[in-house]
Amino acid sequence: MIEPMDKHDLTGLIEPGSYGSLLSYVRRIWERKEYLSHVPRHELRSQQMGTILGNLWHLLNPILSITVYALIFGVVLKVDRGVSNFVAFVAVGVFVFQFTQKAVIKGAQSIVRNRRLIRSISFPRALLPITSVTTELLAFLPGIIVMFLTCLVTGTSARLTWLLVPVLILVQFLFTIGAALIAARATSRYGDVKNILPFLFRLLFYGSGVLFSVDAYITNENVKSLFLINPMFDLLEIYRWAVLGGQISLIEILALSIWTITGLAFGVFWFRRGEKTYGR
Amino acid sequence: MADNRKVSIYFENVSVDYEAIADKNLTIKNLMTQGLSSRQSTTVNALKGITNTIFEGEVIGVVGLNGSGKSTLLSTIAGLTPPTTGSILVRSQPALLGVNAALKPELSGRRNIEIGALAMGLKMDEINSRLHAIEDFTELGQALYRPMRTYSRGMRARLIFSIATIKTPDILLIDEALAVGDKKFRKKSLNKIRKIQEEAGTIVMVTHNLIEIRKTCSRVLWIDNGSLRLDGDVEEVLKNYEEESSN
Repeated sequence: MIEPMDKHDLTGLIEPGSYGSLLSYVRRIWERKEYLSHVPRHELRSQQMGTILGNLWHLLNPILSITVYALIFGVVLKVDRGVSNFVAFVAVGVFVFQFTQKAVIKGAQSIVRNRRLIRSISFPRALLPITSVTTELLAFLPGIIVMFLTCLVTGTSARLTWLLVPVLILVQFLFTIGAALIAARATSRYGDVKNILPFLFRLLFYGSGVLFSVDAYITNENVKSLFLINPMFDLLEIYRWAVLGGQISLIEILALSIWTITGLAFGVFWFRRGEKTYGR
Repeated sequence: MADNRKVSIYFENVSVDYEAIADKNLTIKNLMTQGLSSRQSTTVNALKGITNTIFEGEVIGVVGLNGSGKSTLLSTIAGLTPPTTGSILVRSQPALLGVNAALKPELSGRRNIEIGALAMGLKMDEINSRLHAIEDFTELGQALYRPMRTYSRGMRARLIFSIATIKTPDILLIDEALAVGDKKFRKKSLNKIRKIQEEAGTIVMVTHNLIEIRKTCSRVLWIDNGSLRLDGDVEEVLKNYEEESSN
């Protein structure tokens, strides 16, 4: 506590660069929701500036990538053991995984890349990684459409559980925000993290069964339980259950819920603790 | 002296030390023998125990030689450089205008106005209804549709000043930002500063332009080598400052 040296009344004064309690910090982010609905849309549009097909690329990109994966892994390498509709299986895996991967990697650099904005205008800095995640969420939505179309074209018919997909997207969005906040503070402090993240995600890519069925290939129970505590694996399993059918375990739902809640809470808490350092 | 004015910025014994990492190659050998401490660093004392109280409605001029700590002082008030020891309190979060400020250099001036205003918490319809007035104030004309990285320093300063004053700031910190504007824009921005002052805002400006200080400021702080050398009436401080710097 500061003892005033003279009779000046210091009540109501705050430390610069702080936004009071955690609750008021979150409220200040929420007050700027128009930033979050406006800036990501523009960022997405400007990504395709200078192309002839423009925004159509956001739809063409997922279609092309799914074609490549289906050709290489389904036809050439034959890893489709234990999967009835391999193309749809890969579509779910790739799009869902890429959303989190791209969002966390971009979110990680959002502080470093926007130093000028940070130094010029005062706002809760968490807005920047959250903007990166929101941008990738918007880019992910055409992938969802392609995912459903792939199912219909390849012979998996629509099912009632498709209605759960928006809930899953919301859960993934929140989980990814938590991860992006943690990555953003870590990267702003240690530039090295930027180099580590792509490898971490490549490891996660194989450790989440994006391109193969873990059930069909992994027989060792101990190794299987390692997959179960991987939130991306749980997320993919639940998405695949909702889109393609099959089974899920309560453990997967529980593990994903715990990861999402603790990840988001810790992300906001830990990111805010570095709030004053981001302008340096 | 009975003082009923409301405190706007309060410093108590504020010191700022920088850890400057020496630009020395980090070799494997050094790393093995000395660990990470082989990243030798020296400590720079940018501010040494500043104590002061600034009230609402004051326009403070800060003078001092290059490297005396003026910019660090503003950066500390803005919350960008937290004090190493001592403490600083403000009535509300200040806005800082620097010469090299830019928001998103790759985007147009117009988009920067939008993004800046949204980040400050304005609503889109508020921005749209004021966009015209803001654009007029910048006097950038067609340049508003060009990427900000193509702007001259003066143009950048005009845009940044216009964005930072979209909402009348309670505390505005200006670091040489007006010096690069042309005469016409300086006059306009000084008028705006007076308006902010009339609305009980507080302004702290760092500038080498003593005429500007005489025109606008109500008090001057002279920072010398990280310490507060003199604090007081504009003429009195400037007279001492001019005498010393002409030697």
